[in-house]
Amino acid sequence: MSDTAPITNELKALLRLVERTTYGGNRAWSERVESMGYEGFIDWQLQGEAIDDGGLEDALASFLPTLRMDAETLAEHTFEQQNFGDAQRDLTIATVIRQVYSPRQLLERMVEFWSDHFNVPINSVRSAYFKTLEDRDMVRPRALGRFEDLLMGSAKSPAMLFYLDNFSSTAEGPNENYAREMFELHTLGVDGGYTEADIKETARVFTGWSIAEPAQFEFYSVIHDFDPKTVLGQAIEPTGLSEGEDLLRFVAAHESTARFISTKLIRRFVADDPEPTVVDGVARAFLDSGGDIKATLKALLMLPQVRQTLPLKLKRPNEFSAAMLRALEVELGEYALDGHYQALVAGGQIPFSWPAPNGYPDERAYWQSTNGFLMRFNQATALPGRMASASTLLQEVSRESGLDAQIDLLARGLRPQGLSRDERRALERYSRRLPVSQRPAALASWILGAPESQWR
Amino acid sequence: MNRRELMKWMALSGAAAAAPGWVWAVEEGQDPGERLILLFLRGGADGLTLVPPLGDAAYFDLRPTLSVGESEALPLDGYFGLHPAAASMKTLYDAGELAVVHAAGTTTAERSHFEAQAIMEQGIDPIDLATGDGWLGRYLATLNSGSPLAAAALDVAVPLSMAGLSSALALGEIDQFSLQLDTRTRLILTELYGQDPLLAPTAQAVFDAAQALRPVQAFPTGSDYPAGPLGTALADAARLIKSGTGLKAAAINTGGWDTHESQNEDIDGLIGSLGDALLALRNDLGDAWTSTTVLVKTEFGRRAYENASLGTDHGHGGVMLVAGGGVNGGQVYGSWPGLHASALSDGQDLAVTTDYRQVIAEMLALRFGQTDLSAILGAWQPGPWGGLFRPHGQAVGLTALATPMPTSKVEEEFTPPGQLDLRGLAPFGSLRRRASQTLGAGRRRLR
Repeated sequence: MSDTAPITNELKALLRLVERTTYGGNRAWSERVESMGYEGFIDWQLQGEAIDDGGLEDALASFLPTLRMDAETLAEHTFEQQNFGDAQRDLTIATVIRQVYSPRQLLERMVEFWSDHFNVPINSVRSAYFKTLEDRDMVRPRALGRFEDLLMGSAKSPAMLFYLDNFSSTAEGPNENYAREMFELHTLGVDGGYTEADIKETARVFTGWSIAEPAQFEFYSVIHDFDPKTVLGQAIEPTGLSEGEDLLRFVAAHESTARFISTKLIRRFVADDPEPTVVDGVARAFLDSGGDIKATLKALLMLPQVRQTLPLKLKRPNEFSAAMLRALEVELGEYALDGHYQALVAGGQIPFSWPAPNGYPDERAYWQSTNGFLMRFNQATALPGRMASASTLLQEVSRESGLDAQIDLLARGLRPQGLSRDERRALERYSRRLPVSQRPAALASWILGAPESQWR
Repeated sequence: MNRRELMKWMALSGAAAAAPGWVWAVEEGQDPGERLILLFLRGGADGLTLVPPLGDAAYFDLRPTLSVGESEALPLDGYFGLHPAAASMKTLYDAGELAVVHAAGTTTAERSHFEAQAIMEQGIDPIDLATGDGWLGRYLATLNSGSPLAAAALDVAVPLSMAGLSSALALGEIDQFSLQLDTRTRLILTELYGQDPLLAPTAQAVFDAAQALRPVQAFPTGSDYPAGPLGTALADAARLIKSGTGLKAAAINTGGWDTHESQNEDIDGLIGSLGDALLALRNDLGDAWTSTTVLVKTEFGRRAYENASLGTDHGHGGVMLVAGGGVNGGQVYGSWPGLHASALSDGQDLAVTTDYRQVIAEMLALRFGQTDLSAILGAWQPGPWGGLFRPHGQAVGLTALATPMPTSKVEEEFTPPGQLDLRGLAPFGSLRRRASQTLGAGRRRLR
């Protein structure tokens, strides 16, 4: 992109695609989307784990050893050797590094999406242990797979069985927690057409779904309720384990589920209040593809209304902070990770720490708070100065001599869709009397703190 | 935000910028009016364990392992008791400063956390009547408070109960609410945010709140609060009140009440720290307690009978608590529907005999002098007052109450650390190189 060429609507749509499907654009990613084109970029990102990550995953594993421990080894490491905090620490660090640095950006966004959707908070040493295994063995491999496999994997995951208490549900006194949240939050949605009686019957269907030590799904038929049941108008023969498996397959393919998942996907990628016609289109793709997430996502991103929708999403705290690091092209290091984590703490979005089963909110009404904007202002102000020597972009800006050239270069990295005339004038005015050495970081702070940088 | 609110906001922020000091600070000797602390117990607190109906024989049949025994309960009135961990609550109750409303909640049985919370926070019933804003926000909008600190959530976000009020602040922890901008940055951000009508009020509120909070931050934090977020939030509410910055309402959330499994492992700590926090607040506030009302609510009570996981599933009728110097405490209010099979809601749960809005309405009318309740609670009509509150201004003599003795060990839940532990990782070596390359940082760019 040349500095003087006008930014066409087509180019804007390309840059918005990067903002929507990644944790934030930068110069390299702008070039990439321009050379690949809209559909080419989507197809590339949909390859998920097939995208060459330059050895990132292997390097993560060598630094964060609990990531690849099998269930037995991790149990011994955590409980017997009493390394209580390691699993949570390693998974948290790995998650934020992947979000900022992995080239598999859409995969990481979908891992976050499903981590919210099938929320399991780390609120005990045991849940950190289970969550580490679930993230690696269930969520990540299936994040771009089929919805039914995610739902089934979640239902049988020790992390979920433990969190929503199904592990202790027996015929004598079924525990309704999982059954209710499965309908309300994981599949049909609260208005999706189930009743209180369906919840009770479904709780009985899942009696006996539990955990074998240390972290294995196990169906205990002795505590399963073998009476006949009726769920959503379907008679369920008492066959044992397959009752629950069949029920999950049925609800995974339900039209209410298609609409619910589609609405949430559009809300995550495009706008808080999805247009009904857009939901129709995405839900159709979900149903036609048998709940294939790649096909659903591609349909969503290719919809003309979506392509043309302006940036309406307020970045969540993690998106805001990750986008700063990415736009500044900050090398991985202690300050970058510390600073990013501080933003998550102050903004109220530490990975795997939302306590309720519905996952972190995804709407502006929640995140547009004074607490949140205090964090944004403080982070935007502090980060560029602290990161100046680790930021490729700021290094290059400081080698430019004129103010105009500095602003042009910063805009290319931090605001590829262009600065407004008013913004540019304000930047010029406020930086004129600054010592030259302070200019690059100050200009970067102002651009990153500006309202335009809060939307995607 | 409607136009009137916008005008008010602009006038307010203009005044704030021009004023030399604390123009909004309450004048010495002036009646500051009643303050509300709204405490929401998220997850559905088990009213049958918090305030067990010891006189109802069916209670012990429905809860063979989880019932609170008559010998261990703290007796209240011969029929009800308090959970043994609630010694601090008992102290407040005995002093006449805490009242219980039992079998309270939403008239419509709504057993989803999120739907039931949405009903209660919007001040509606059923959910089909959703307004999108909160009952507390509607009440606060009727006030002409000049203070930028009139409405505050001591949380990272404003809860739905305050939604719709553009001046509602989310303060997180007060000591952390510190704006670290130089003047130039603040000026340019003010200018840039002026061009974004959606975000401008929030940016301005950040600047105003950071300034207005400075005297509050200088105010010492009271002692005796239990460790943890609930104690911190209540201590912060007390600082807002005591420093005279014009707080009208503070909203606080506290979680952990969704006790589906092994309920008895958690409930002592939950109940104990709730009571300890309330008593610490009372002693911390001193005379200001006479013009403070704490309203404690939860989205629903729990299933009348226990499950096989030694827990309880989502139910219907629950418990509300009111505390403060203006509360006619020392009583359990509400008519008891009973727990025998024919009395249960849907055959499984404690029925609701007091609509949660009745408590809100009586509080707003008597303590807050609100004459037009329809502006807040819509077409719903409250019944006759139940005598829960003394009228505002009616003096009560506060006696010294012993500071809380921790009644139970608060279970140490795992909480994520405030800082990343990067020991042994820096300088990251190969990880640094690999990560930076893929981002386009460092010398090499993505090809």
